[in-house]
Amino acid sequence: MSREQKNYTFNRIMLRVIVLQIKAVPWHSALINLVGVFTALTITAKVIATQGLFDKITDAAAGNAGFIECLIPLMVLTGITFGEQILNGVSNFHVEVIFEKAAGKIKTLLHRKLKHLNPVCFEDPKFLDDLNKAREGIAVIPSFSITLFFILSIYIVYFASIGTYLYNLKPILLFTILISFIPALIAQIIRGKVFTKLEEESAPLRRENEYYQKTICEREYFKETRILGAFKYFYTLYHDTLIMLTHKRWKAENKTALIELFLNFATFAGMALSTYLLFNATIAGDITVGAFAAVFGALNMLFGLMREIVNRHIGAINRDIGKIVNFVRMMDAPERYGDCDGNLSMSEGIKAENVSFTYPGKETPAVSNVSLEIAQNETIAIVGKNGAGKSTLVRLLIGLYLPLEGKVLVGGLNTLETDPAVLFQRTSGVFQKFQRYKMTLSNNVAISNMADFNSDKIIKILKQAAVELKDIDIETMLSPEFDGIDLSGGEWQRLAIARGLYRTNRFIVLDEPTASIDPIEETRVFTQFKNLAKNKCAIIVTHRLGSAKFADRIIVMDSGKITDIGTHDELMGRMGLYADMWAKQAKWYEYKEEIS
Amino acid sequence: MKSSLRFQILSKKQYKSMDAVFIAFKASPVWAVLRFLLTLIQSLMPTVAMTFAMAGFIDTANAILQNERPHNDIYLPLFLMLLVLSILTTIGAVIALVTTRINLDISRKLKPAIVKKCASLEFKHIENSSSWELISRVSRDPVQAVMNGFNGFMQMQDITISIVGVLIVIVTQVWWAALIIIAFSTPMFWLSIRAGKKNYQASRDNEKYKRRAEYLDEVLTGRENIDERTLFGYSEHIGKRWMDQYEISRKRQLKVRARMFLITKGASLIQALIAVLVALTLINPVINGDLTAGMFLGIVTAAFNMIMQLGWKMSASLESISHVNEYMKDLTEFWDLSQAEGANLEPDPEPIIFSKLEFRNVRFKYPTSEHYILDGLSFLLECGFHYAFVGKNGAGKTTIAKLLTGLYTEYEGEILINDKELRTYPASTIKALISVIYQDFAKYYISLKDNIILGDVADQKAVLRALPAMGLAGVDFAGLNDGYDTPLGKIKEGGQDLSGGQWQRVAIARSLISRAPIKILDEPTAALDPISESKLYNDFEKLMRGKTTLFISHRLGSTKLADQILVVDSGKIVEQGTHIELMELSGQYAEMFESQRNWYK
Repeated sequence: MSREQKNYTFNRIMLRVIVLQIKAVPWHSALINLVGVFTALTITAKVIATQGLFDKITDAAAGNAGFIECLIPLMVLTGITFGEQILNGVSNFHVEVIFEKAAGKIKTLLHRKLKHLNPVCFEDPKFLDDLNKAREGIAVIPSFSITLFFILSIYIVYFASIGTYLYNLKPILLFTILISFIPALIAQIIRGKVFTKLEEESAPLRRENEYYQKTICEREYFKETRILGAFKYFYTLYHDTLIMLTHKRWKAENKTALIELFLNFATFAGMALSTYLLFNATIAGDITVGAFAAVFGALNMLFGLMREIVNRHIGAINRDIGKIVNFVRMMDAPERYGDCDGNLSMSEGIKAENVSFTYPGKETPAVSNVSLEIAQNETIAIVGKNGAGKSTLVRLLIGLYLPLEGKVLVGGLNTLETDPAVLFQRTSGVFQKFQRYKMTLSNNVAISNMADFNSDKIIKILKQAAVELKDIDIETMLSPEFDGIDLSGGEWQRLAIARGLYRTNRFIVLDEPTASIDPIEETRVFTQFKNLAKNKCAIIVTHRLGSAKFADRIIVMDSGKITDIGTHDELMGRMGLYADMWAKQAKWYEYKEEIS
Repeated sequence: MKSSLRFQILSKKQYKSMDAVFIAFKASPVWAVLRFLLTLIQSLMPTVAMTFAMAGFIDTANAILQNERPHNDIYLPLFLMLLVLSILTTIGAVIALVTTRINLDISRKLKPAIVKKCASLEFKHIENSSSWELISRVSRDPVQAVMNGFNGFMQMQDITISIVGVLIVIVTQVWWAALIIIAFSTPMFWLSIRAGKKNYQASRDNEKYKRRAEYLDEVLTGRENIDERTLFGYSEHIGKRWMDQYEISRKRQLKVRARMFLITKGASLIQALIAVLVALTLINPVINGDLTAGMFLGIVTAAFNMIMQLGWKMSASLESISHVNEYMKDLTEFWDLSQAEGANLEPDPEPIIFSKLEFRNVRFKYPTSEHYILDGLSFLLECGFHYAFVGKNGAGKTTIAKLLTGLYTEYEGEILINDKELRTYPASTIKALISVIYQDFAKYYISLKDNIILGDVADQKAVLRALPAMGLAGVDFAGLNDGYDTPLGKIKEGGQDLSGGQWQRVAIARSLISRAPIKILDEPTAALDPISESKLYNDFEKLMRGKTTLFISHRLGSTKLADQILVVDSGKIVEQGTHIELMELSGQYAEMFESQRNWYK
């Protein structure tokens, strides 16, 4: 949709991330930058102090200085070193604090955002992919912004201050910084080109190899692979790909190592050149031997930091920026808002007018041009084959999905224009994919109406839904993973119904609830629903025609359209699709009739 | 040969963190020794070698500046210094290469060993959630875990040698200074190592809170519960709860981190103090002329450089070692899991001639349960008939298939095949005897042809039967680019995916090609609508004529095709007979049947 319209330039993203970060953890951000500046200054100060100490020592060796004269610069150096260590500790620790804290705050933003998105987004594989990447984006936003902070506070200040120092020693030494930059830059360019290519080459093979391991070891394959006796087949594939993969990687790594070696030589050449400059200055008497030793000792640091900033940090920024764009794009996605002041009156029932709906990324509509009216207190059954559009229609009628054409009115309110909180206030449902929340029993029920948590009501509803409590307390955790108990499939099913009932409702849907239960339980569920549906609007979706019979009206769906509406008797009388399906299903039970 | 490799690489009962090093040496002896030596050089270069090179250069330079020596003398020390520098800057790349080689060698030996072990485990370990978690943890990335440990130890070696190196240099110059340093530093190191271990434990204890927060995050962002999340509008509420859990976990973690930082930074400060102490004690020898200025500069530079690195290296290596220690605990436990005999064998080339199958008073409970899921189960099946097992959820129907296929062997009573106990048959014979289509049948991402042939891997000529089997099962491969040689799924390049219905036909063709005389259809219809369901049974029945088939289902669609219906309840057969007989019995079957039929009256 409007997703691609915005242009996410690097600068804009950078700015947004920094603002996001500062908003999430303002004080920590200020502190880390301050510490960064001081850290940079300390590193340079240390070089200067080292020079001071070394100059005095050289004097002392020549017999020109005593113990006390040497002690003073040593104490200065000690002070700076301690300061450096403490700053380093504070900074490192703070990075950890910021990582977790900011990630938490930013994740809350995503949670809020998801709440306002259209539920149908979750049917779109592309959206799910984006969401996944956006979540990865959250994990890297703190490190991304800290890298930016560090570049500003540590590196720039460090290079500026050490540059000033070198310039004061001898202007030509300023070249050292330039020299350190060149090998780092070459490294980054070569890395980007060569290494990515090497990785791309082995990726498919690795995927294959990992897959073969799955066919042997993963649960979804384990039984079948064993009983087929297919271990040898897959193990051979696994072993062969493993050898090929390691062989390929070894060849690639050899190449990599050669390049790396060359790059290291470039760094070395830079350091050697710098040393030569220093050496010349020393021999010419422009700088002291102490200064030579101090700067030579610091060369490693200088070159190391330069490589770090160019390779690691800029590399990381390049790597992470994509994920962050995903996050930003997710945050910019259009939200679903609507009027909050509409008045829901279920006496007006539910109306659908020429409603059509197509899932994102699909071409054929799941529901096309459907019109329907459900009166107050009416029970409707929707029947049809797998993929006929039953579940989609129900989601449109509740207002979970918004029609692309036509409109749906729930209790007089247009689903397109009404705020979801208002729209859903009297609606409840039991879905095919009902959830097994890893929470307490009471929460599993009351989650449908968290604003109204009432233990007595929970117990009452559990009884109504025939959940056998036995000696289970309602505060029992329902998850072995969190030290609780597990329920059987049938019990979870009943619990899901209790959940649907707990929510105050005048409109309830039951969406193919019987996929995994046995016939007796199934019959029980339908009978129960029949009772529950009294005095409210109710929709039941099923592919078992027999269970739809009790409804006031039955809607027959095929290929996204309503092909017939009527009572059971009316539909049977018409000899259409319904009667045909009925005959096919009833056939199983027929040969009984012949006998009796 | 492959199995001997396994015993080479993993042959012990107990694994400890040090085993990371042993495994590396076993998998890649030459390269591991090389790595050891290179690390040695790497730790001596910036400390010992650089100290001497720098001292030589500075002393010579000083002498030249004071006109005590000729200009040309400087070139040798300068060259030596640059030589050390060149080794220092390049050795990293070589070490990285050697490490990769070790990594690859471990990959080649450790991974297959673990995969093999995994494949031969008793099935109960796969179904049990705690042992399954263990298996996943161990097999997820064993090489990385071992390598991290190995690198941790190498880093430890690096640290130790650096320190010892500097100490030795000092000893050769001013021996008593070294003594002072040792006296100060030894207890500090010991303390920081202990503290590091404790902290690691504490951070593991925090896992529970982390998992809770992760679960709530899933509830807030997952796809599975989008309908309930939107309709019930619980995001706000659960979001708050998530934040609470997240903050608890974060703060606990932070506490641990803070302690860790205090300790490592404390250690760094003490190391800094030691460096200062070194400098302090060496001033007087310089003044007295016992130590040259160059040597002083060299030692002090080395000592101060060292503290910059030691702090984080130390904590990093300690953490890796603690991690690998946890992994090794897992590995020990994993290696100790019991194996199923013959699990990895292929089926016998010729299936035995099957005449009858009998369960005699079989009782069975899952290892983690107290409840007997099968409780005195008895029945007799004869060759060439269709049997339907029906019953409520949890009645024990699927367990029957698991016992029959040898996935569980710890049952009481007898299961007799041709009057001989099932457990006395080798695993390969059972595999040749039974073919199963599961509800969640495997979709193998290999070529369509191989998918089918897997149904009878023991037969070289199975490939000749693949095409007819596909035809019978109605597998349509006209749309595939390379016909039945097309790889399925998205794993291989050029792979194509099939629809759910097509995959099901592939599973049927796989079962068709199998010469196994017993075919089991284990709850294959849960996700199907009633019409597709009855079609599946019809097809299957037609194709399997003459074989012995077991339909296991809680649906009644299968019963029409069965010669005999067996009703399972509470782990027993409560009713058995034809449809008519069972209806006349007016028992559980009749009740189930009626409850459904009533809807169609």
